[in-house]
Amino acid sequence: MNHAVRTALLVVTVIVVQVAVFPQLRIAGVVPDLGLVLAAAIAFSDGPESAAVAGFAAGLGFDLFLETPVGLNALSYALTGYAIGVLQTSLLRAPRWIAPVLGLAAGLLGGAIFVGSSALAGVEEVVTDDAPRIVAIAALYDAALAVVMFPFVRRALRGRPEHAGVWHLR
Amino acid sequence: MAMYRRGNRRRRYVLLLLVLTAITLITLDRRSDDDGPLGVVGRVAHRIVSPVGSGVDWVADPVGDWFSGVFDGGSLKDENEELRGRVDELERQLDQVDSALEENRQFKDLLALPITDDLDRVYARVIAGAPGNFEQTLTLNKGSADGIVVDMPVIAARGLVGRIIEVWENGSKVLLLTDRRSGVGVRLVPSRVTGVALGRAGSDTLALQIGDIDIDIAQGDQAETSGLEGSTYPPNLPVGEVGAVAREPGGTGQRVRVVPFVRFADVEHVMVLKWAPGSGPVVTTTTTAPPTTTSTTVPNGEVSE
Repeated sequence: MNHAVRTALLVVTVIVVQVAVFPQLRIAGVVPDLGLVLAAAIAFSDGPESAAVAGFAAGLGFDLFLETPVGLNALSYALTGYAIGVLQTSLLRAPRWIAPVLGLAAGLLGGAIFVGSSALAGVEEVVTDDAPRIVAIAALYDAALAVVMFPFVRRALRGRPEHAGVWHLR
Repeated sequence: MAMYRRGNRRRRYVLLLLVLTAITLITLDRRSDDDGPLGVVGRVAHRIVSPVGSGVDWVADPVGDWFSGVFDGGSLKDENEELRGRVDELERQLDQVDSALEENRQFKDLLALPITDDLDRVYARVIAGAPGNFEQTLTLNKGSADGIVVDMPVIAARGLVGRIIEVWENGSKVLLLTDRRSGVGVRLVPSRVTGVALGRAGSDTLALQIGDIDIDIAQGDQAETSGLEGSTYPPNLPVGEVGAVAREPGGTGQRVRVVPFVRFADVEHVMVLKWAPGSGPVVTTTTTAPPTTTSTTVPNGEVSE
């Protein structure tokens, strides 16, 4: 199957799972940002450009189900995917623990961008005293999910050596 | 080297394009209402994913309960003891309720207030909680096909849940009382003082400001919807009880925290009241003989198709 089609299927699956499954699996009242983990995993697999595009698509799809303005998650997922992609190009090898660490980093960075851009856009319901707690718990949840998501995405997107990320160098 | 630079430049252009697109979408969405193109796309997306959510709810409910049990286990014992105490108290109160109900009914007849018994209602099941972390919403399995429209109040067995903010054919979204965008006109009993209880981000309680410092408000006072003219909610729906009262700095008023009666995380079934804000009960008639039509009548005599 075409690489782009596989990526698109991953994005759609992640949106459906995020919207339909994870609201029932909250930890301390918080859901993870599956789209951020996907963007980070694609960054690791395919590099920053693919991660930014896939992150944008996943975030935009998720935005359609939220009350916050459409585009906020798209922006934070795209920027996070790109940043993780740039970071992975500087890595020479990928130790086992890199997936949860990058999942955590993606959660924290994506959450911070989301809250920051919400503040700029005047979305008051996001910019609250509780936001740091929510972002931190979501990031830990993302880190745990990254352990499963990274190998899954690597397997699903196998076979694209020309823009390969560090996973393919192992 | 030149190819590497070209690749880098291309990446940056792609990122810049995505960022600009996102900013444009945010701006468009902030400036448009729910009937705009982005709102329509959102409703279509809800319609597609709702059946998945319904199925997943059935499968994931036990898993979700397990998660809640693991992470809230410490508080369950205390909560159990507290609930036993409340059951005893409620049983005592039950004996006094019958006479109060009769008295209440007579007062309502006298004042000709629209009460819940007069309202058509739609029973619905909660199929999902809020998909994100920064909103307090529930998704229901009933929508416009059952006559639900935006702003209709939603109640559960113990009291008010919130109001409908988004509707599609077979589903709808409820904004909970605790969401920061929510405000409900309430009357405290027994003091009869009224005010607007506002949702507070990151909190399970509502904030109520009372300007008069001389009014006696105590912990445990009941809050019910005030139903003042033009209100979003009908009168006398139970909302919650006063959890804390404090004087404003400078003695300018009282700051009241209202704890909702409904535990929103546990709500499974709700009733949507066919009530139009500012107009009162909505009477819906549906004929099944072809052509199928639905007409909606509000008390002032206007009929909309």
